[in-house]
Amino acid sequence: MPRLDKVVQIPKPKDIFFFKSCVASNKYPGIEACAWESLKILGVNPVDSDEQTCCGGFVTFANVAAPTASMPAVARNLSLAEEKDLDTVVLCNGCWTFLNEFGHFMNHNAEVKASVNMMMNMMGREYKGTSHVFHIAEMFYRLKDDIAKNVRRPLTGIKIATHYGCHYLGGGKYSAIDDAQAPTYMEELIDILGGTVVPYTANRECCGTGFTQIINGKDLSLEHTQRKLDSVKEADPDFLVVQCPYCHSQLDRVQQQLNFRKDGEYETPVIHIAQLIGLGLGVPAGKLAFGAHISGRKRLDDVMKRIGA
Amino acid sequence: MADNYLQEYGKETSQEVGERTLAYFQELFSLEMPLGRMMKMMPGMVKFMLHSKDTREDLFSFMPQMMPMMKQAITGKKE
Amino acid sequence: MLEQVKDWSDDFYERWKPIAMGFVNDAEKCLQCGKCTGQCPAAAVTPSYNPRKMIRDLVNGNIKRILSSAELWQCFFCSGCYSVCPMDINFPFFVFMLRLAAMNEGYGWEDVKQLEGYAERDYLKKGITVSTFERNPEVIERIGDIKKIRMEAGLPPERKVTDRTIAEINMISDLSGMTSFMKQIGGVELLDCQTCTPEQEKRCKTKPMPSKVGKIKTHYRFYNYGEPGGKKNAEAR
Repeated sequence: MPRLDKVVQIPKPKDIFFFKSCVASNKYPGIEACAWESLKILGVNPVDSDEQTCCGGFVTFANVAAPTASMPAVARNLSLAEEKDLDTVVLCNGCWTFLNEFGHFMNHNAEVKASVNMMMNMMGREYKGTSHVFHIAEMFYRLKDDIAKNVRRPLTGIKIATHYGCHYLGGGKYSAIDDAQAPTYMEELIDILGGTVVPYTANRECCGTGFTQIINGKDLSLEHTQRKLDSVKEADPDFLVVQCPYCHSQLDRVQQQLNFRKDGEYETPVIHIAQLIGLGLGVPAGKLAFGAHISGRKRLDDVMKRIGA
Repeated sequence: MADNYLQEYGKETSQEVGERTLAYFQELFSLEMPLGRMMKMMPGMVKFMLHSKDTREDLFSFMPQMMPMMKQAITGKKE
Repeated sequence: MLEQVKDWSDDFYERWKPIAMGFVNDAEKCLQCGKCTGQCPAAAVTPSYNPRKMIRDLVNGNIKRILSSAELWQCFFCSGCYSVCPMDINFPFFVFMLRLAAMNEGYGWEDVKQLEGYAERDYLKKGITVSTFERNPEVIERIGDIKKIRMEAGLPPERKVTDRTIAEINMISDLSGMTSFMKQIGGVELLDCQTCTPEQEKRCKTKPMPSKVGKIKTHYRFYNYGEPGGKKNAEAR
């Protein structure tokens, strides 16, 4: 059950700083294009910038960048939004947790913030800590009434399973809009779009990427993801909807890897919540960029025909 | 090669390991700017300065802010 | 020799508590209830991974066992433990800090070296940590050219990041010591499954520990908390 007191704290901004995800930009551009387009349809103007970089979460939790290196990177990215006096929307659970955690830390530690600002000043920038970071899924939930008014392609008869991922609900124990053990906001959005929610037993399991385990501890990562995918396969949805590009990448690609190693036939299409909303709101098919998806392509085409896209 | 972590560490106690860790974290999170640290930062700043006209301008406008820090680093005294 | 539960003095512990943003203070609140381990995805796959035991060691003083363990590097960072913990202990943060401490002792560099390439090649050169490079031939065949897909979606063929931005993040990396850290590890040398030789293949399966990563002497990590699992996909690369 969404925490309504948290939901109303999310603004309905006129403009918002659009923070792009590394995985979305270079592997699943449909996420970026649909998120942009959907926000516009819902009356929020996304603002881009060529000066934003990766949030720095990956290199930090990979222990390649110490916190002393990644805090200035976070400050720098957020200062871009602050320059334009805007809040920030992110597409990824990891970005959300990372920018929020380090941002809050700097806001509560004046000495650290001053030290980071010294580096910012060298570049002619300043970090104030005033830009709030929102996840696109919580933004969509906040705008659900506008979504309801703008549905152009009802997803009637489409069976959809959800995967919330770990970092937004887990890391946001007190700040996310829903409970970590039994969240329902994506299900509500699916209802609004006319789709049918399909439950499955492993629905609150981690996707298995494990931040760096997919590279360093691949055996653990694959075993965990396989368990998740087995459970999803049993429920046989048309889509598995996720809210994080990293989960998206893992759940999409590991299916092909497992198929290659003859460990089963996994053909579930995985799409991001931004693409789902975009699909429902009627964005042009090219923006969905389903060509970048690896698993379940035939089923994706099938679904597109069924809803008339 | 040792069979287990106790053999690997031998006579060392966790306190000794802890002291090393403590020293490491104190250095990592220290906000002090001793001379050595400041010197290490120089090449990075020079590289940035050489990048383009506007990076030079930005770094130069920062110089006045840097003076007291350099003074503190060189003399070792806090103002 | 006997394993000591606690081989440090009480006044050392007082100095130890406030390190790294005082996370040990939080660890003291642990009830040892085990909710964290019960829902942990890593523990579900490999029984020797046990957050409850690791916190116990941290508070009791058996830091040797945590820092030399292989388990410390098996955390998935899902924050599930934090979300179910009745005392709000942020365990992933502990793992993050303890990994830094373990690296200081010489453990874990092999893992970090594999990840260093993303920082050196992608983040510091293009500002984006994930590149369009694909290693899997089946994937390349299925998606073709990502630039075309981006253009069809109405985006520029490549995500643009200004030169000035690259200069800025490089300065941040230089000033904060990240660049010199990466140099210590000795740059990137990622092996490619496509160009694998039989010798490399054999080593890959048994994961032998290099005794040095760049200029750093590394140590073998032990499974200190039980029998490891997760061997089903052990030959995965």
